[in-house]
Amino acid sequence: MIWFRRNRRKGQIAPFLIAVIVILLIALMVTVNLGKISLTRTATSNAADAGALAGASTMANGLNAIKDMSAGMLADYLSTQIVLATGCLTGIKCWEAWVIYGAHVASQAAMYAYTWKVALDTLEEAEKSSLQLAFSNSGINEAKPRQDGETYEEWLNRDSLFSEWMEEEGYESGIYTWPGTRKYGQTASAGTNSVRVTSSPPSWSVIPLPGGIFGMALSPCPKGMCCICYVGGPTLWGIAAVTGDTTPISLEVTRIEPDINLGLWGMRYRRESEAGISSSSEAQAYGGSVLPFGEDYDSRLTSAD
Amino acid sequence: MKKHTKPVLILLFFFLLLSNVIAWEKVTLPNQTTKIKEEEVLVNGQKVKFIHCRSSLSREDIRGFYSRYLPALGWQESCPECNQKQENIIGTFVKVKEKIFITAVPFPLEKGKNFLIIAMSNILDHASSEPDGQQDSSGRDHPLVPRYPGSRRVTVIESDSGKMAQLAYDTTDALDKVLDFYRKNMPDYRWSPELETDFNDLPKELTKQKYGIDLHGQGLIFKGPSGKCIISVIDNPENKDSRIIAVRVLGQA
Repeated sequence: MIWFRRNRRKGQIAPFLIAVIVILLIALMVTVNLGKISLTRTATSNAADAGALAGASTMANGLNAIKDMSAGMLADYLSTQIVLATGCLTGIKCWEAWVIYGAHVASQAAMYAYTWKVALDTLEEAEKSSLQLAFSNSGINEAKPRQDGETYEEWLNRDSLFSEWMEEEGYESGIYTWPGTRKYGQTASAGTNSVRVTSSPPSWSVIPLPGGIFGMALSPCPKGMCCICYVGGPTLWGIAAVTGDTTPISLEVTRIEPDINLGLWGMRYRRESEAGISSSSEAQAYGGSVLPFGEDYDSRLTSAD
Repeated sequence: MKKHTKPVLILLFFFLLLSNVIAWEKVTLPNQTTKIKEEEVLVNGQKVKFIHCRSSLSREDIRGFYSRYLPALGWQESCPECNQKQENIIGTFVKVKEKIFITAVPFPLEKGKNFLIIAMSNILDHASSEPDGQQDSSGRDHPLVPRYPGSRRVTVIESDSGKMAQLAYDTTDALDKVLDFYRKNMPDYRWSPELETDFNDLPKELTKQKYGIDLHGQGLIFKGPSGKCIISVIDNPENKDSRIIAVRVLGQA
């Protein structure tokens, strides 16, 4: 203390203060910039996770639907087997037994063809829902600018450009380029901000369960109750497996936001030519089986980057 | 209302209610066998109870158990030599008008395990009594699916909950005519077409070479307000002049 008093000079603090202010300003800009990058990274990460989980959840629901169809096929197989096996006891004639067998086999074959359709529809739906959820969670549903002469209620009821794009199923294209020149009160050059989402669902193959169905029916002899007519042949009695059922759906979300004015002065934190901020996630359907009376499938996130 | 009329009516109501309930006989399961679920199905309008089980016993062991256990309770095996023609069938047992049918299907992907299914029925008589079978079988047509004119109902299998129904008809009309009928009339019953499949185009897994399935015909799949309907029309493999119509309704309570 004594030393300071002895060596005090006027204006000595000014250069030091200027240096401190400059350092603080740079720190502030870096902090804001890093915060912005961090927010964007969080948004892309959330988007990738949400999209992948939505896709896996859709796949799990589709597999559970196939499992229910498999159980339905088994129920029909058993009912038909019982009708045919007890044909002699119940008075079923040979021609009737063949109609019952034919109807059963045709129905099972049609059910099998239908499970293929359900599988393909599920994968298509999984891709769509993953894109939809990824875009919805990517943090790009920007504030709506108030139009000239627009009342508050009108503004409130009007969809944003992003919402309109989502409703028109634009998300299926996999890329949203922000058309405006303002965002979150900041300026940005039109048509340069974008979010790109790539969804890669697995491919599935539906494997049937082959079996035989046999029975006995009454022959046309007028007096006899003799079981001399054997009816039946090959059939399907369910779905054995869906190959690729636990293969994950992967999703990559990339945001590009060049030339953003952070309110201090124009500064770039991500150039358009660069890759942008990306996050990727994988999720899968797991724990289930399409066999009749198998466990239900659930969905989970398997990796997030 | 008189003093005693009300209790009498209540008793009458319970009597009517009980007359519809079938007292199923309890069937013991062999060792290493666990019950998965029970359900009731209507076959041609008559109730059949299914007990679905999972068993670690071989089919021979299951057959051995029931061929000792059921006869001891007064059940008689019906046509044992017939049952041995198909290895999945464990046996058909009869006691007065009651029947028990037991089948065991190998559990896929789990070697040595079997689905054991026990079906019990009080009266499973087929209604078609005419020699040439011109009459419909018992049961009813599905109220939400049009019936092909001039066809003959051969069998009706439906779950007790009404969520699954399988009906079989036969007709002498041409395949295309039958298919066109359903294409044209199903929308009137609030079904919209979802998929058409030609059985000749089925995946290789189902070809005759591999599984012996040889179908000539088509399947029409329709979507309804709360379920699906699958109509399959094929040439009758045993009668060239006849077409088989299979109607399966799923999830339509």
